[in-house]
Amino acid sequence: MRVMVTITPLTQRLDLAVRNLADFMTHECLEGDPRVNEAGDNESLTVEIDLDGTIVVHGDIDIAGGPTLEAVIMSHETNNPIVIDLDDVSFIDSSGLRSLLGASRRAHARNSTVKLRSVGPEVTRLLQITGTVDQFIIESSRG
Amino acid sequence: MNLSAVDREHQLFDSVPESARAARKFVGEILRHRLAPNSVVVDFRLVTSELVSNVIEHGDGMRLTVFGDFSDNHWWEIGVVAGTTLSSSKLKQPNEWTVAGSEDRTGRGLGLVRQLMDDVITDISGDLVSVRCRRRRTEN
Repeated sequence: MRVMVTITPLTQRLDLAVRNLADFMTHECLEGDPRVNEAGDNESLTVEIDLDGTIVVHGDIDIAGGPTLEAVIMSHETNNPIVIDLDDVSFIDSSGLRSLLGASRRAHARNSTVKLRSVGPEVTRLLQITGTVDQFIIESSRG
Repeated sequence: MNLSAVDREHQLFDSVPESARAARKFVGEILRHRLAPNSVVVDFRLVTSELVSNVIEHGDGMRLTVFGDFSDNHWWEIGVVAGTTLSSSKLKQPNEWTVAGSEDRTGRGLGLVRQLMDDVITDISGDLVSVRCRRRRTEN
């Protein structure tokens, strides 16, 4: 089973979304309803949490989606390592990279790491241009 | 210069985070419409996202304009115009734009723009700042 959390990129809804996630994890998960859906009209980013704790990202990681992703990552930082699946991410910019670097920085402070899974060419290129590849463990890449 | 008739498209966006995606979409569409190579589209989408994000974070909060200018068939050109409270003397010149180190939290966007483009031109006129980003057309 995969737990799905869909969060709008609107920063003002961030607190509500994180609260929904927390409510779901503590209540709904045990009731068999696999989904919390916080839909929005201008959705650019969806984050799913696998039962093994993998953070699965869909959409664009940018100034709108980055803070959303960062909030979800921060709510799962007890995982060691933090695994982020980017199979369905085809765009990231420096604002989005900030959320990943923040996770990496905090992980290193805990003697942990951030693993990036199924990293696409756009993400790889940005990591290379910005010289930040070594901040992550690249578990796998895709064409 | 090899100027044909003015061939320019523009779109207004609110200075909100959601506009970054909309601006990327706009730029991707006008470049594809003019048969720009995919590598050009990919880079200009990233550049647009960086410029629009910069305006959203540091601009005056008013609306911003993204434009494409295809009048000169030697260049692909995309730009952003937005309100600013900066004076000309405070505006860093593009040759000073660098990508921050991996330990820094911010300071990568404009450095990326400079790295990806062949030419970046900035100008402040009154309370408006414009950034024009150009890539030489290699297919000519």
